Amino acid sequence: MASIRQIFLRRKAIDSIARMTRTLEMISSARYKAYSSRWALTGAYRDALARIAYLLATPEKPLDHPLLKQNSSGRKAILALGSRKGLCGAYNSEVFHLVEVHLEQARGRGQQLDLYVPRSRLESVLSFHGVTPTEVYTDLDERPTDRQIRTIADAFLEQFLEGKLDSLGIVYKRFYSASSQRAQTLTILPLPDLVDDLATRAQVMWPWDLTFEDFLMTPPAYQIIEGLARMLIYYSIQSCFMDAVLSEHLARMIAMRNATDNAEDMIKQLTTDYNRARQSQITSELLDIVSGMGALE
Amino acid sequence: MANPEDKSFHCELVDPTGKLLDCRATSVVLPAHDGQLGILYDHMPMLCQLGLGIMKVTPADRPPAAGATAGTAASQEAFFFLDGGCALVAKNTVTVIAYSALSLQGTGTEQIQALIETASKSSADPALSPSQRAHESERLRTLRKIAESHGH
Repeated sequence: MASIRQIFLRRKAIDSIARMTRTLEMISSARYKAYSSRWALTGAYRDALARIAYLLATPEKPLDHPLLKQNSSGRKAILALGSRKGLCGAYNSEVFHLVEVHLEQARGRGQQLDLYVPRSRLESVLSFHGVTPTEVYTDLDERPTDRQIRTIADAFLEQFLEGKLDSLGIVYKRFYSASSQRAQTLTILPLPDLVDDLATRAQVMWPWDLTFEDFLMTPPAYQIIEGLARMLIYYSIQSCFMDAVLSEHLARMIAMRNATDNAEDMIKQLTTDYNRARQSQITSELLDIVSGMGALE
Repeated sequence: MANPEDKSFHCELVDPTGKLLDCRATSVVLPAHDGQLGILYDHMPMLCQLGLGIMKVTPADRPPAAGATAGTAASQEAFFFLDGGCALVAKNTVTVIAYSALSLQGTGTEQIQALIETASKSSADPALSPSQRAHESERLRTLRKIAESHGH
């Protein structure tokens, strides 16, 4: 059995761990609240973009634009969004499992898969499994700026328009609600998949009996499609980063709450053990005294 | 029952930060990619790419301010600074989806000066591509114009 001092020191150590996890929980909780209120405000923008996506998805004659076509270069790109910091449960391993599926698929089909990651804990998970990313974005903020998003998106768009890229997907933890976040892949390029995703996610249905052909386009359809496509792509990448950061803070909040609860349970148990050990020490000392007294008499 | 004399339409402006405007309007002037574009009641369905500039909205249902006279209609107009996006016009509904928008009501000269400083810093960034640099310069020019009109 551990000595009183050992139990006391262990309780003290666990108490400081509980204090630290409680603080981390509070930090993540504050950030989660701040981001979730911003996330809620983007609903109107998402619904408005979904109308545009619906319009692009419903022309009588298929639209002719390089962004809507399938390339056959044999190269795929995946942008994987991991957590920026640790202590968030199985967040990175869930993202990695999905990346692994893409790697297996690409290997099976004989395709080249290029992996892009922002600076995150996912890097160490990848290196542990022997996967080397093609590029690591080292200068991205927790929520990248519009210009950073545009720079990333424009580079992929250029490759796609030149026919050097077949598809671009983002692997991230999608935030559905506070009780549901799942790792998934959102296909950004080619565009029809993204259009379908946006059109099906919208909360507002297309409220008019008008089709693509009923609209006057200015500039002409071919030019406006590219502008609209860029708008949808920029928004989608930004929203993936937002979902990822929201899910990360929520995951850390839950992980830290569980850790605090476990630490508190352990402190309770150790306190009981400490009191019991102290009491038994006192009892044995009393017995020694009583038996000593008995021997003297 | 709808009033046959009512020539107003629904107008909303959204950007990634949320909904900035949701009202009935009698006219909307938008900074289209190739110049100013005016929209009135019963406009045909249209999808238009936007550029940099000022959006002007004349609201229909805003009650006149206390003590306002007939000649103060212009003061009720709402102005927004738009930086790209698109506008969807359909069945008397105008939806403006902006990359970024700023309401010029209640925006002080200091705020505009701060935006000018940010834009001039970012336009001098050597990491910018030529198209991004051109865009930033155009943004800076428009903000300076807004600052001048605010000064007057």
